[in-house]
Amino acid sequence: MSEAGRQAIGVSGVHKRFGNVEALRGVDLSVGQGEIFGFLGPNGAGKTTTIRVLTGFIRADLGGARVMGMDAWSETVAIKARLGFLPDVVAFASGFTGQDFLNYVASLRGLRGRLGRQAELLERLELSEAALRRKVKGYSSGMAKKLALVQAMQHDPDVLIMDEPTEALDPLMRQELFAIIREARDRGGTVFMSSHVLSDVEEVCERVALIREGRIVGTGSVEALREGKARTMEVEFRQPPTGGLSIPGVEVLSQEGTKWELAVSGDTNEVLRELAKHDVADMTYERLSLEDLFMGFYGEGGGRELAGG
Amino acid sequence: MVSVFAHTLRSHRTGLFAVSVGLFLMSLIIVYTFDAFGGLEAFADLFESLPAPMTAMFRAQGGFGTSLTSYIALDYRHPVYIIAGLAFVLSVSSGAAAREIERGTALMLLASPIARWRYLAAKIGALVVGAVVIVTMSWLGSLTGALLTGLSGEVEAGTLLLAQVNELGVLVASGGIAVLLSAMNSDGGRTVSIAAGILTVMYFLDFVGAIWGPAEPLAPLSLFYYFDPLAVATDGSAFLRDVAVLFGVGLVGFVAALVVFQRRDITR
Repeated sequence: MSEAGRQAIGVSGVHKRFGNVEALRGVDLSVGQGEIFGFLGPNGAGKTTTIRVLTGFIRADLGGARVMGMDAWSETVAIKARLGFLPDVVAFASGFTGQDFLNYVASLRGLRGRLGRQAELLERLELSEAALRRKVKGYSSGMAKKLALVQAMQHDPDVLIMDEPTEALDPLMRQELFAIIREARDRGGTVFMSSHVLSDVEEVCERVALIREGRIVGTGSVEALREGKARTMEVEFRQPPTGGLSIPGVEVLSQEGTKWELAVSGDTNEVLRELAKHDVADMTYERLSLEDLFMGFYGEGGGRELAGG
Repeated sequence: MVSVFAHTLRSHRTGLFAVSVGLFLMSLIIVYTFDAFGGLEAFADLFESLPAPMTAMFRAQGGFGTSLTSYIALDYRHPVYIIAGLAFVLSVSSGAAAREIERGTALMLLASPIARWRYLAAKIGALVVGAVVIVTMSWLGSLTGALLTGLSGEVEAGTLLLAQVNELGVLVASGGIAVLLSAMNSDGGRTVSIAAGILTVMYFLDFVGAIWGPAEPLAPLSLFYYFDPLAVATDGSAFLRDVAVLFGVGLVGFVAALVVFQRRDITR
């Protein structure tokens, strides 16, 4: 199968303007079939607009988006037959009970009766029969999110697009959702999710894209994004180096007595060999979290673009 | 499609029931008022005793009936009929697209493999069926009233039915305008406000055009100009023109709404 054939989602040079606001400025993305892909960015960066272009709710001014090889705007009905979608806003028309809503959504897909997959999802996400008999307007935000997740997945979609799927879920439910997402991937499905919860994305996503001000500023595996980024090393010396430290790729961030904080962007082995020449009492060297990366892109000192990102 | 149609009717069933039963009772009571006043002769005496300007104003709003059938038909133009029917139409229209987008409920439903225009068409179908139920109940109220007062022999059921078809035309035309506004907007309240504003202006345009000569050329711009149930009951000459205009406006509005809703961005 060709590379293009394995692509589940492709976004190419998408621009979108709302009045004076240029929401998307040439977004390019590629998500492979069977991949769990995270989409990160601060509020207003263009995540939801991109997702709505993919789901056919918004038409791109320039460029195009394809899902499962089909045009996201003109072939949206065919795409939606194989798509599961969780929007950023979970809202239900009044009057529905939970079960009525699931049945209604299933009927819009031409499905009748209670689906086998629906029962499994309800059980795993702990939505009881009693809860399903209640009106949705009385649901907590967590229950509403679970119901919305069930509607998105009850028909076993080939591609699942989710905007903030873990919001309002407790930690146990998040883990269950991750398990469900991984199982969907194992069955060959593709998952595209945006989130503000970076640890969630880090835990479940194989690749991520970072968007800022309508442009993709980084794409790749979390590990690849970490490459070339400085990590913080804290070293406590019994006897601090009198002449300071001169190690390629290492910057001394602070010195408080025997405790030194270093920014390490070079070869770790080189750093360890150099430190071994001194009397080190303790050392911590933390893995660069996605949050650190995120802040690197968007926070103070941010604004750097990855080469080829 | 059937699911959307059924759900739309179900979600508006309380309003539809209230309007239908209310207008059924009003139609029934109108027949009783005719009987209680002492029939047409008593009405003629009453109107002759009114000051001339007031008589002229009544004539401008449709004139007077010369039979029980025309008396009932004239009352179909009573503001209560118009307001109650339009309340239902505006409620369904604003909910058809704009309110669903405003509340965010459209996102999960339109994530289904249904073309947007088909989704909206199902809602338009529910609106039209609801309007048919309303006018049918009004008509049945008149017939029931005539039956209960022993005046059924004086009532022309077919003529009253045509008068109600004329009213259905007003509801459909108003629905066409309101659904188009709904398809263009993302705010249900704004949609109702604009639609109600347009219909109010039209109502007064028709009224002013009838009582003030210089404004007369503007009256045909109003939907209500083509709603004349008394004329249906008396000569019926303009019936076909009136219903053609009203249903034509409705059809154009609905088709435009389907095109707009299919092509627009769904954003709040």
